[in-house]
Amino acid sequence: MASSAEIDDMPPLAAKARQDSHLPPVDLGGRCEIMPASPLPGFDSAGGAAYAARLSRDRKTECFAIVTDRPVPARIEMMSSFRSIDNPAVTRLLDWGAVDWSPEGRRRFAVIFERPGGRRVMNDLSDMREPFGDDQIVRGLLPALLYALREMNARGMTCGAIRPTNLFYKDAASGMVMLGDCLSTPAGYGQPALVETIERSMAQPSGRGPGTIGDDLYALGVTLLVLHLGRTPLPDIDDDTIIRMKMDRGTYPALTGHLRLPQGLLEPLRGLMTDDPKQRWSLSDLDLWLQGRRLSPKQPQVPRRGARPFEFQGEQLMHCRSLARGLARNSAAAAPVIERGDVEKWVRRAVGDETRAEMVQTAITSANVGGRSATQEDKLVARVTMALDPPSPIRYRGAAVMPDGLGTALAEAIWQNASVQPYAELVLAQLPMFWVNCQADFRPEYVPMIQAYDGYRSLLEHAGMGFGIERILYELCPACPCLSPAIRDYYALTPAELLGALDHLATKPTRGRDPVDRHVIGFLTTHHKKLNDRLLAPLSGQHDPARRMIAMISVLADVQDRYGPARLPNLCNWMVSLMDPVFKRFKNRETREKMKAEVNQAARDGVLEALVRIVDNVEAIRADDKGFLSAMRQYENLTRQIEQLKSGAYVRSDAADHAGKQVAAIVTSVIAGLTLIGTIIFMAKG
Amino acid sequence: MSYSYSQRRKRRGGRSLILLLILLLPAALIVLPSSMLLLAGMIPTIVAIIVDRDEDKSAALTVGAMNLCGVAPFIVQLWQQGQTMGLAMRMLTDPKSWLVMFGAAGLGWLMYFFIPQIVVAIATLRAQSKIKELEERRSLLIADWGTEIMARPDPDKPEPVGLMDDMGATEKQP
Repeated sequence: MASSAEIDDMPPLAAKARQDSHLPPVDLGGRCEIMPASPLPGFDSAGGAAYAARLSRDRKTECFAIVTDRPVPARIEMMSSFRSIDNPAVTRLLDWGAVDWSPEGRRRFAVIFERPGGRRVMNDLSDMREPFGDDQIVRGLLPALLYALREMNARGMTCGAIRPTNLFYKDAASGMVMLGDCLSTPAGYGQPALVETIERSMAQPSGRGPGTIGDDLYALGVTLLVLHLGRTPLPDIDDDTIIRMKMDRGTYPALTGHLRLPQGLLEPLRGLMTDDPKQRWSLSDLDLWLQGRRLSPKQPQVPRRGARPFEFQGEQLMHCRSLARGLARNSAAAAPVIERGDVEKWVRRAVGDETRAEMVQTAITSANVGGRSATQEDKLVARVTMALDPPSPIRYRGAAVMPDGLGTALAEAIWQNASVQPYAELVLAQLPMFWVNCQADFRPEYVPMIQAYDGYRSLLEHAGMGFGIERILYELCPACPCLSPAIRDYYALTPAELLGALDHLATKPTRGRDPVDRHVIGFLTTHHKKLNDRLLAPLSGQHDPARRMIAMISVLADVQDRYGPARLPNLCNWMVSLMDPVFKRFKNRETREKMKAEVNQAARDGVLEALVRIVDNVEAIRADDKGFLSAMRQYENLTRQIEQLKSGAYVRSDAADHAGKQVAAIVTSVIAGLTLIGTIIFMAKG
Repeated sequence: MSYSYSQRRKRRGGRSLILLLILLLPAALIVLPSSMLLLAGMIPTIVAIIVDRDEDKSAALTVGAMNLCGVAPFIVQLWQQGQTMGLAMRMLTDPKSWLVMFGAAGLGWLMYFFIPQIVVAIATLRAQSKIKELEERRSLLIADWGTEIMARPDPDKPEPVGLMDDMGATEKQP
């Protein structure tokens, strides 16, 4: 092992590599070992770096782990379904879970895949490689990927990661290609704008939502084009310009307008790269084409242009979609233009789209409902952009999210300690509902989505713990680990893991005051639906710290009771250290001392429920209160007696004088009697 | 209320005394020297009876008891020496006899005045000791229950409940 002096002399990267080479394997639940000392940069994915891994039960299978390090949750909810896919064109998922990532001293989520035999097909979109022939694509690549997508679709999931840089050769010899990781990040997170549909590419990567099979087929189309060319069709063009080109001309013309494509690929590429999701080829269309059935050729649709351009911020905008995008980028300048009615007039007169013009009018009217607020302009612009371009994401104050991508976008914002205000306002302003109202086709999945957003709005209107934006985060994104700043590094995905994390945190001197914050409660209320909601109100109340404390322990105790772990001695001790207000609830010193001793004893066993039973024992509370009332009366009585005695009323009273005289009479009578007897006896003897 | 119970009692007591004197008169005549000596010697007591307004006549009792102690030796001496009028007169004319009889009565008056003062002093000492004891008990109560017991009990205060009792136990999954 190198001495520290030697390491100091090395360049930093070399020193790190040298240090890393001595890192022990990281265990994943006893099922798998990840080697931090063996990075595999060739398999890195959008979710994080790849490392060599070894399965405990199957040493022969070569595998690798993606250890996530992005500020977004992995698609954990899809992993069980994905594992059941046994397809040669899909990298086989072997295992997953949070691991103690020793190089960083924190927990990270790892996904274990079977290792492809070959290398990555394209390392970067800017790379140039040998083009795939049309025959190679039609006979090999396309059927394999179609089959993979069909399997995913049958399991109710999308891929969201079809791109040339996420394809690997199955082995070094054959030209078979397989899909790489699509689970370590939300769908579409790692996708460049080139392979995403226009509407999804306008959304921020974390807010694109799971998408549809149609979005995957679009990505497949662009991927095939890139592979056929051996390079990107639009080299050296930034994402913004690509989106603008796609909007103005349509995807297929924008990407292939300057190219000569072989006849055999024209149809599928045109079908897959159609911008209208309804017109785009489906899985069965592609399947039929592969079987030799030729479909009626799709004509590239040209977006509806205005008769005259709409001039905004020095730009000549010809389409509703590009106008919506322009307005969303500068809402401060857009709001007066919209309020003047210029946009509606342009849509009605220049574009000639009455329906859309009506929708713009509805957007303006609905934005003004409820009076003007500080964010009125942003809400107005958000609604009008949705009316102008219904499939586009909700764009509001810098956030651009699909309604079903809000959860992951919110997770990213919280993970990066960015402002969550736009997301909260977006929900409160009912923008998702307006988005649904703007859609030309109502899909059945919109109904539960609208209902859910209605519920989230109610949750946001509550300021207390267990409500608010934190609760919405976990409701929208159940796969998100608890993002409480104190335990974020523990990557707690379940209530039991969360309690375990708190128990571990309790041993650290840097722990905060309370183990429970808004994130912890939001996480627990989301994952433990049977939790008594009435316990949440005292949690927020600062005026009664005893009730707050008991509510806090009760919530944690209920979670421990239901989900484990069985023993949490450190967390129990932490709670005991905060229980002073609870002990003060008992007024009798002896009771308090006895209770403290009992609680300390119970804390050693690590069962939170036992603490609740001791401190929230109603019989003990009532007995103490009864004793207290009795003590109050005794005190009052004693005080009265003392005051009486101090005032000297008795001493100065007639009664005292009378008693004194009586005593005098008795004393003298006794003395006289004795003297008399003595005198008689003395004189009789004398 | 003009005709009170005490007045009736006083009048009845006066009647009994006259009755007693009438009954004793023959006996007094039989032992006249002793009666004369007793009557002269007990003059302070008679005065005390008259001046004492107390219902219990504690002054008369106190002075009378001591006065009787002073008279008793002369009565015994008179009886021992034959109970003659002459001896009785000699005793009555002897200033020493008056000094002893009236001195004893004076002692009685002194006791009547000082014993109540002593009693009050003792009562004061006892009260101070009692105050100390009560204050100790009060301090113990404060030590056990805190200073909150110094407040007055609130009769309208509701009976305390446990938090879980207040809001119903956490729903349990079957």
